[in-house]
Amino acid sequence: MTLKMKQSINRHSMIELCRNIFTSRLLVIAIMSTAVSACGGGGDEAEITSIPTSVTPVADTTTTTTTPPATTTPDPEPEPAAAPTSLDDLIVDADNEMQAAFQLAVSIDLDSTRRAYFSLCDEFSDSNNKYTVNFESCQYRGPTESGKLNTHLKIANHNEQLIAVLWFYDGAAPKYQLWQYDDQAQEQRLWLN
Amino acid sequence: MKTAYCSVITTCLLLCQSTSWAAEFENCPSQAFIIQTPSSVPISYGVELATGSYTILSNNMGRDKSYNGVGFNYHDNYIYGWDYENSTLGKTGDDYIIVPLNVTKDSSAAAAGNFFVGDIAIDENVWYGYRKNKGMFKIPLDDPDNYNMTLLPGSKANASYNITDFAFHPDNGYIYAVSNGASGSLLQIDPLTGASTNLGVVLVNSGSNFTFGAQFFDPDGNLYVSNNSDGKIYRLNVNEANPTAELFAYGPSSSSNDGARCALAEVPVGDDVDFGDAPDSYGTLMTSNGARHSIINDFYLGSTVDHEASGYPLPLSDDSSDGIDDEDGISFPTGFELGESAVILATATGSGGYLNAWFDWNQNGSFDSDEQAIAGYALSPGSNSVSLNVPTWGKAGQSWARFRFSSLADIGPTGGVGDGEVEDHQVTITETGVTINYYPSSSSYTSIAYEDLYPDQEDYDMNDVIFHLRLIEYVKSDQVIRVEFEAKLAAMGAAYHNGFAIQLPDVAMGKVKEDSIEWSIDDVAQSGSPLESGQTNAVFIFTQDLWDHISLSTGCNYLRTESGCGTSYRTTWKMRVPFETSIAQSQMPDFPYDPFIFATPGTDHGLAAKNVVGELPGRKLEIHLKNKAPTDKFATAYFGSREDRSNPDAGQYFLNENGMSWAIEIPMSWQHPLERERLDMTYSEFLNFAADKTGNTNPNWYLNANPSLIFQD
Repeated sequence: MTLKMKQSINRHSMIELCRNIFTSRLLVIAIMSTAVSACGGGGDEAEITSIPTSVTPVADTTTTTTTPPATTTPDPEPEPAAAPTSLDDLIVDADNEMQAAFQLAVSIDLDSTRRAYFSLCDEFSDSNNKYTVNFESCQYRGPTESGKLNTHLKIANHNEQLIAVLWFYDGAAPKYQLWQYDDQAQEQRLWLN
Repeated sequence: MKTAYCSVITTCLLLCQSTSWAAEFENCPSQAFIIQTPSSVPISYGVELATGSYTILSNNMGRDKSYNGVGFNYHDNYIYGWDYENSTLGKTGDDYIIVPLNVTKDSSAAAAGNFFVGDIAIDENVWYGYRKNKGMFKIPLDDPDNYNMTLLPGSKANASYNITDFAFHPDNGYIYAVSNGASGSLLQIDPLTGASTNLGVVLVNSGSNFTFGAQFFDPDGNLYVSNNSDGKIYRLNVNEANPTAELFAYGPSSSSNDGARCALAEVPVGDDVDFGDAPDSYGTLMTSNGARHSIINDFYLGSTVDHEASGYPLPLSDDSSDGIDDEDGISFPTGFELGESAVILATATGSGGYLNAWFDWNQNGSFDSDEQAIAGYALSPGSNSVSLNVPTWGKAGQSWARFRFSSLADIGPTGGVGDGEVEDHQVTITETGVTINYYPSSSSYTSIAYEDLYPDQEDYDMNDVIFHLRLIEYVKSDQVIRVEFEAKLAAMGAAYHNGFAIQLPDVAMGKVKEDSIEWSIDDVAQSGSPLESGQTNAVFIFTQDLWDHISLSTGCNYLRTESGCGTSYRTTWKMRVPFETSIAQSQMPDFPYDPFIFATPGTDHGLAAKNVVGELPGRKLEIHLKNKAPTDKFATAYFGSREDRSNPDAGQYFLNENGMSWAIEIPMSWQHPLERERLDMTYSEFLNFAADKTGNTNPNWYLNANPSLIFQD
């Protein structure tokens, strides 16, 4: 995909998003800060992030407005065939299972071996960097083992932003880390240490 | 006689000062009146028996001594009771001022002194008073100019029992009382003689002795007795053969306590009462003495509390049905691992509240005495982190926990409380060291949408069968020890009869601990194994025929695919599958595993399907997601037939010549197309998503629908 195409998609996504903010009741409770500002609206201090969102990742949005196409390296990928206009002329690669989900590699490596419980969740709010997490809406939960945890998760495409929480049993402050989909990366990865 | 004479003079003088009566109370009110005398001055409280919530009705009853032996007079809607200051019967209207009556006493009455046991009969307009070793006395109330107090013949000899109040039964004419002491016995008393019959012990105290200073009836024969020292209100039904008392509500406590109530008034729940949501075996409905709290301002868990007329156990919880989830004050930042500590977060609105919590660790459907996990923990306003211990003897799986917040530190898992909130939460209990992987998340579902004309393709409305599915893996030391499925039938836009199943590719059926599978349909436990025999891989049959599980509205041909044919009801399957031999994570199939539909045996599935196998296809016809291999039951004759272009050698299954499939997965509760509305028209972004094998184009295609073409309830 060329950068130009990407920009077009991003712009399209933002238009779609703006439309959806006013048409989708799902999005009433699911407004990302970037989406709000892109639509010209104001944001609250407490931003609720939730599923589903239709925004492209923040980094991409920024690129759209600041980097002129001429300064980028041309994409070596060939132009794809003409876009399908309907299911009648849609050609799907025989090996393409059309699953709208991606792999996320999780690596936790804490200095300490003290007991901790890890949660990766998709409903949370952020007010002045103070997170409130809905632990009933999570992709993964489990204890670390000697401060370590490694796993691969399958995440729905629209979960472009997740909150990782390490909760300590000794009363120490929990550790929060915001994870965002990185469409520049070969592999989606969450590191916590 | 001298005493009586003085008494008459005194009360006459006082009466002469009273020129008119206060207005009567409303006709047979439902609340109970409790008169307490904490500092020699009587105070009247109005108590809602259902929750024990109370308000002070008056702290100035015009007297400096006790007002006791009170009863509500059904015949004139006044309260009568013994005025200690004037040693006579008093009468009280809705100004709560005690007005002494001019009572002529016989010699026994004059010698009996003051009375703290009394009530008014239902079938006659008479106040009855009892005093131990003195006897049973009566004062007819019909003639306001002539009140006479007399000893009932023979009652003195019967007056040997130790009680502090009694109450007239609403219809059988007897008086009942629960006696005081380390245990409470139910006494049935004949008002004509004062003779009592002991009907047995109904209550045993583990702490200090009982003193039941206030006792009331409702029309159903329920006797409510309030214990002075702790305000606990117990309930028993005297109409039962062997009644036992249960803790019903938590009311006001006092060293001096007496009560009056119209026995013909029901005990209503009230308008502002919060109930729980756990199954009724935990004590949720009003009929089960469910946990309930009177709602008061700014005193609850989280940021909201709502009221119900009774409990709404799942799956009918009002938290999901009315869109207001008030179970927002408790969250679980850690798991509950057997034998380990755990942490819960409790958010309190208001100060001075305590948290009590129970977990059904052994999953027996009730909160047992050894399952109280948090006892009287004082919560500060805002967020509180509270530790608790998960017992080693608990059972891994889904269970329930109940959290109660109130100004009382010591309450149980059921019964009424006058303030605060109850929150019931489902909890997941695991073995120690177990991680949980949810797909797509613990609160959401992925949608599997099927076209069922295979091996032909038709309209691509992708709604012939739609399941919403959640899959959960439990992993210990990189080994999957158990999986769980929750499947909801979300739509059925086809006439053919289909079954639904999930295959675990490359997981041999012998690895499943078949006799430990637990499964339910709409929370009704199912017997019989869902594991299909004669298969290499583990295959779980949810149903042979989805039509058995739906009922359509009048005028609707299908489930949730036609306009006006919506319903919030979803038939729900839950299945818990433990493995005999744990499976290395690397050997487990990817989510969403392999959910598929199949032709219901013995039913027509179209000519094309029939012709390929020469008979009604039944289990020979399966429809899977693209490139998921069918089970052993599938007839491979379908490969390459009609529009199918499966190529098993290349691992390609259930695709047509354009690579399009008969089923797609959408990783959320998808808003599917209406009947006959094509996928590409409803979700135009799907085309470029499917055409790009990297999946990077329109990755969120499923969020952007043409709203006029999707089904909406």
